[in-house]
This record gives sequence, structure tokens and C-alpha cells, in this order.
Amino acid sequence: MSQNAVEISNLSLKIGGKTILDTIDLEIPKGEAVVIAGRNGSGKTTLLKCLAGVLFPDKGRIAYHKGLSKKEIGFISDKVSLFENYSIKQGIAFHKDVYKIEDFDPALINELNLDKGQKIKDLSAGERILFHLSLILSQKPEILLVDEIIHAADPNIREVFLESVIDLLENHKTTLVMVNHTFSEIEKIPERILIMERGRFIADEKSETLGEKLKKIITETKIPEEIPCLFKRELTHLKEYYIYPFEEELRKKFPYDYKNVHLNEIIKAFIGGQYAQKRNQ
Amino acid sequence: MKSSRLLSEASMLKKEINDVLKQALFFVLIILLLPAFLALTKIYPDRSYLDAFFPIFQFGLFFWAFFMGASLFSVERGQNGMEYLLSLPLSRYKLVGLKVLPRFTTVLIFYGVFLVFFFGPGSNSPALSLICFSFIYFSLYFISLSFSASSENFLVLFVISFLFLFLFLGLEYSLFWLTVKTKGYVFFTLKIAPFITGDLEPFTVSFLIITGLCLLIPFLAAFIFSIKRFDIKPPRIHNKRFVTILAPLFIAGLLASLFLSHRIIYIGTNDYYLTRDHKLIEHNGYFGFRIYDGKNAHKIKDFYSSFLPFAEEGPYVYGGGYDRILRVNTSDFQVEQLYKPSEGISFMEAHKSGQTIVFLEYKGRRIFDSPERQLVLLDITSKKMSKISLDFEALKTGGLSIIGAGTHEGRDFWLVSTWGNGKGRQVFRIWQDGEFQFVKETRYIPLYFSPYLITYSEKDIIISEDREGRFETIRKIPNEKQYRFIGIGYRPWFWSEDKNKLRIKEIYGWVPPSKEQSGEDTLCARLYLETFEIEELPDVKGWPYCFNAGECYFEERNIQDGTFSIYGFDDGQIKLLRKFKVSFKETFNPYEIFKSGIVIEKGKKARVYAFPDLRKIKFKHL
Repeated sequence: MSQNAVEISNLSLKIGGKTILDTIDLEIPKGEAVVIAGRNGSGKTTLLKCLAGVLFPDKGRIAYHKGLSKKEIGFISDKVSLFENYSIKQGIAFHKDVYKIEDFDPALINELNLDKGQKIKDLSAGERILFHLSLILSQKPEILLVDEIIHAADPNIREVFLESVIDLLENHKTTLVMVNHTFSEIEKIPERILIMERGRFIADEKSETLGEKLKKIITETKIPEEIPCLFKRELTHLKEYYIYPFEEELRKKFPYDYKNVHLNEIIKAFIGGQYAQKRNQ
Repeated sequence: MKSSRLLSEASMLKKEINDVLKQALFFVLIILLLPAFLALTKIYPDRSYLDAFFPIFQFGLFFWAFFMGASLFSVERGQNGMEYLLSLPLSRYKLVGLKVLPRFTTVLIFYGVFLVFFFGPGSNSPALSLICFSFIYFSLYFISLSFSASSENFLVLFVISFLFLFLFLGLEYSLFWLTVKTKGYVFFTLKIAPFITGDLEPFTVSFLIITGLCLLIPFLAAFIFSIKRFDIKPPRIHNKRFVTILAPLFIAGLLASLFLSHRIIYIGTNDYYLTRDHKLIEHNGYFGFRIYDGKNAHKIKDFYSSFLPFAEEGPYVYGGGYDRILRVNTSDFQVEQLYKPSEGISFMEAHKSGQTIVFLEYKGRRIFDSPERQLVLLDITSKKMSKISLDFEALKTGGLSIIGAGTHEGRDFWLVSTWGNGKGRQVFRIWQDGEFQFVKETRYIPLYFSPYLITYSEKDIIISEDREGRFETIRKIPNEKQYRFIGIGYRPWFWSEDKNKLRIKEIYGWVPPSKEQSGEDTLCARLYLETFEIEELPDVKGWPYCFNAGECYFEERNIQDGTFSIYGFDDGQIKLLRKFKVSFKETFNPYEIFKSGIVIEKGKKARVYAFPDLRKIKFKHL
């Protein structure tokens, strides 16, 4: 436990008879940046909410690093939940008091040039995300939990948001658990990528090794069944095969042109593979 | 660390207080403006602002109680703040506690305001009773609080809360009804109106509070236990947990309230009569009679009446209620109605003399207001009645007591004593044929035992004897200590089945304490009828209870240590028969002395001890 910020064991959750989390075990070392991806309904957000304490699992245990209090966990939900009727000033005051923040850093709010008397409910989606992040950054959290929110912000706000998160990770060694589908903009962030399906992790890889483990073959013919195919896509007369897990021995045995794939495409392949599998069932 | 935690809690509390204050301000504005609106629109033209305000305020408070209970998470739900709220560094219990605290405080504050209006300016306005309002107000608050996490829809919470309030009130009503019926109070009519007007017996108030708590606590407990794992899952998940916890607790609460209501509900007061052959008659206007013969309890519930026994003969006990005279057969448990006055007619002073029951009949409710009075003679065998008009000036006003009956040369007569008519006490003889005869004046209640009549002047005890149809004074005994002599069971007469065959050798008298029921010492004396000598009984400090010749007991009560002692006579010597421990807290007369024994009421139970040795008699099912 000493090196882990969070340890999850045997975590299960069912809602209305549907399994959302299925006996999950996970250890996240301190200071690690983890991104969870997966198709809709795979359990990513639910897991994050369990980590934030807004959802209770049916079974299992979540253990935080010894001495870590709930004050040191920052959580931005997919709804960017805040007390909307508060003005920015009231929101800051409340958050400061509850989390005992001595110095609130207004840099992000200043960047947006917001009127502090403005109600939170009147902020745009992007402004709201940045405002929430500004509250959490002032907390200097040991663990930052961010649901999939940045797609709702404009490119400028997305950039500010991500830079602020990266800054926090580098300077404060914060552990990050982030849910995201697209990796085009967050490529620099994850050290580890978890891919969820039906409440379980189907992939748990370091981001630098994931590119080595997933390759793409583009061919007109059908590839042998011995090659592990994660996802197949047919494009006119050509076929795309996403190979996972790829091993160098495959090149010798089946001499195809194994292409490197961008992280974003890797995630798409995983998600597409799950959809395809579901269709075939 | 601790101070930082307190800071978090203080901030949360401050937020909740702000939320509640805003809601309270809105509520107060509506409550103040609505009566003004009614006054302006003149919907109720004859009502003042206050008259319109108080009922609106009262019913408005019900909605306030509901709102304060149900709105625990409504602010956060309404502004997309639930996830933020639940991620705050506060445990669920702290979070709920900090939310409940200001809300419950305002519920109490508004209740206080209600009390001020209820006992002050609103006291003349139409309103629910205090118990009715309080019961509904707090029940509604706790019910709606229990359901506060059960739906995200406020309208649903409103429907659920009020539905459960009505179910809860219905259950309370059913519990009361069930208990009343199973306890045999068949003549008790359960009405809603007294609950609304507050005209309730103390036991009903206790019932409402205790069973109300028994039924509400499971809801609160289920809420407390289920809220520990309250999260953003759909409310049905919380509801499933809530119901799983509630169900066994509610069953336990229901059983507890059933048990407790059986102990609490005690309608009317039970009166007892111990027959000469040691049968105990328990009577209560709401369940009729129960006759205990030692082995069984026989229920008789074919009438609604109070029953005050005045005579006993063989298996029969004669008694009168307020509206009829009955004869109860303690062997076959039959009840026979001997007399029922017609509409607008009342009766009093029923006594049995031989096979005749004599009583006074008059028009209206109070004899004092009625100059039309008659002496009624009811023949028990034939049920025929003959009436003697008391159309004599001296008997037309004030109170009347029948103090004796007798026969002289084949003519029956009755002695009556007047009182409260401004002429002092006077004794009259009324003959069977309607003849009326003044007998004596007396300072105290007279005592007749054929052929003697005892009356009192300022200084003397006057003993008269019935000779040749007239009462002649035969003795005047100086009465410095102001003794008064008494008849059967502390009453001013010696009735007998055979009115001319009483063999009384001595009578007992006493000087009552200056304040009755004060527990002060009394003076007692014995009057020997052969020599007309008075013997003081210095050892006896209690109150005398006399029955037939030589049968007199003295009861000496000690209020301080909660005991009473019964003294009897053994060869003319006073003797302590037994000392009993009783409670004088609930009633000053926790026991009653009968010819054959004593009945002591302890709580809601009765114990019976039989003369002469006062051994305990056991009655099954008592």
C-alpha cells in the first residue's frame, strides 16, 4: 500500500440487475496518471464515482493511501456538479471553507475574465469546467478524479484545462484518474491506460508499451486465425485488422506489413472491437 | 485536523442555514400575505385579519413541516449539486445531521410561534386542538424526513408523505379501535371529533404519543440506517434498502404499540361491588359488567349504563345508573331492567325495602330546579309502580334524601330529610296513602333505625322513638364533641330486607375532620342503645364503616406512608385486622369497604380481601 495511492479489490456494483462493475481489482501507484477508456456504459464513470465517494459499491473495497483524507481528493464529475445557484464568489468561499484552502489561486478565473458576482448556472460549459478545476487545483489534491468533460469545452479552454492538469501532475505529483474516449489532445497525460468493458478491465497497459502491443494490418485477403485480431474493419476492397497482443514472432510467421497505430486509434480499436463482439453475440 | 473538520462542518451548516432562512422567509411572506389577500378580496367579509390568519398559519405549518422534512436534498437536486455535495469531505451522517439541524430548529421555532398564537391572539380563532395539531405536525415532519431520499420528484414526495400520514393516522385509529374492542369496551364509541377538538382523555393523549413514537421510530431508524449508504444511484435502490430495514422494525413497532396500547387504554373507571358470597362485580360504563366468581369471569354487555349497587338479596344485586334501575343475577348472569324513566324525567335516591324499591322522581336534570317531585314505589315482583306526589311546600325546594322506611299498623311510611332549602334540615314522614307529617328538625344528617330516629340540636343528640304514629323524644344526650352517628356503609340509614326486624344494640359515630380527605385524626364513639350511653373510642382515629348490628369497621389511613389499616371489634375491644399498602397518588379512595370484604385497586388491577380475617381471595381473569 505504501506506494499506491488507491487500491481497489473485488469491487462490484449492480444497478437494476445490470452489472456495472464486475469484481474489479486495481492498484494505482502514487503520482501515476491513469486514463480509463471504454465504450459507453462500460463502467468508467461509475468506477470514478465510486472512487470519489458519491457512489457506494455493492461489494469490494476501495482503500486510499494511509493518512489521505477526503479533503485531498478532487473530483470533477461528468455533470460538472456544483451548487449552481451560488455566485462564483459564494462558490469559492464555500469550497475554501469546506476544504480549508488558505490561498485560492484565481489565475484560471482571471484568464476567463469572469465577474465574481455571476451565478455558476450562468457560466458556459467550458467556463464552468475551468471554474471547477480552479477550485480543485486550490485544494492541491493528492488524487484528482476527472470524468469525461473536456469534449464539452472549446479548444482554448481544453488547452488551459489540460495544461493546468499537467502542471499539477508535475509540480504536486498528484495521482490522476481520468476518463476519456479521445486521446488526440491528452496524449501527453496518461502513463497508464485502462480499457473497460462490461464492468471489467480488458486492457491495462503502460501507454508507451501499448503502441508496441497493438499493430494494424491492411490487406485484401483474410488473415490467418492464428493472428490475434482485436477488431476488423472492411473498407471497400481492403480490410483493416487490429492485432492485439502483437508479438515480434508474428512478423516471422506471418509476414504482413504490421503498421504502428496512434493512441487515439488504439482506443478506437478497443472500443470498436467490443461493439463488434457485442453485435456478433 | 480537528479544527479543519469543524470548519468544514461550520461551512456546511452555514450553507444550510442560509437555504432554510430563504425558504422560511418565503413561507412567512405567503402566510402573511394570504390572509391579507382574503381580507382584500372579501371572500370572508366578517373575518378579521387575525381570524383569517390563524387557520391559514396552522394549515400552512403542515406544509412547512412536510417541506422541512422532504427538502433535505431538494436544493442540491434542483441545482445539479448532488455529486458535488456527496463528494464533500463529510460523512453521510454528518451531512444529514447538518442538514436536519437547521430544518428541525425551524420546525420547532414555528411550533413555538404557533403556541404563542394558540394561547394568545389566536385563542378565539377556529383551530385544531393543540394535541391534534402537534401530533399531525411532528408526525408529518418525521414521515417526510424519512422519505426525503426516496424520490427526486418533490410532487412524489408530497404524495408519499401525506399518503403515509393518512395511513399512519388510520393505523393509530385502528390500533385504538382494536384495543378498545379486545379489551371489551363495547359501548365506547370511537369518534374523530374529540381528536380535532382536543376533548380527549389523558390516556388517549398518552396513547397517541407512545404508539405514535412506536410507529414513527421505525421510519426514522430505517432512514438513519439506510442513509449511511445514500448515493447518487436511482432512488429505488435507496428505497429497497429503506424498506428492507423498515419492514422488520415496523412490525416490531406495531407489536410494541399493540402491547403498549393494551396497557395504556383504560376507559372510564372500574367500580367494584363485593357480594356477601364473595362474588366480585366489576362495572364500567364502557364494557358493562364482569362478574368474577373465583374461577371464571362472566361478561355481561347488553346495556350501556353506570351501575351503583344499593341492595343485595340472595343472588340479586340491585343497582341504579343514571338512567335506569337494574337487577343483576350473580348466579345465572341475567340482567333485568326494573325501571327506566321517561323522557325528561330523572330519578335519584333508590333504596330497597322488602320487595319495594323506593326512589325520588322529578322533572328535568337537577332536583334543585324541579318543584315537581314524587316518591315512587316499585314492586319488584309485579314491576308495578305507585307514585306519591310530594306536593308539599317544604318538600318542593332544595335537596331530598330518603332516610328510612317502616310500617305502622299496616301502613307503610318513608322518612325523608330535606336539605339545602334555606330552612335547615327537616325530617318528614310520608305515608303510603300520601299523608305528610313533619317529624323533626336536625343540625346534622339524621339516622333512622326502627323504631329510633336520631336527630341533632346545637347541643344535644336527640333520640326519638316511633310511638303511636308519632316520633316522641325519649332522650337528649349532650353532644359537646358534635358526634354524628352513621348507618350502613357510612350512609345515614339502616335498610334491611325486613324493615322492622333490625336488632341493633349499638351504633357508631364520629366527628369528621375539619377538612374532609385531609387525613386528619377523627374522633369516634359508640352509642349503646340499651343505656343510651356514649363510649368514646380514643384508640380509633379512622373513619367508621358500619353494617348491621355490631358490624362496624374503622379504616385509618396514613397518606404519608401510603397505608391504611382496618380495625374491627373483638368482644367489644378494638382490634387491628390488617394493614395495607396502597397508593393515594391516583385517587384518594384506592379501596372500598363492603360488608363481606375490601376491594383494593392497585393500578388497573383489583385485589380482594374477605372479612372477618381479611384473607386474600383470588379471582381468575381479574
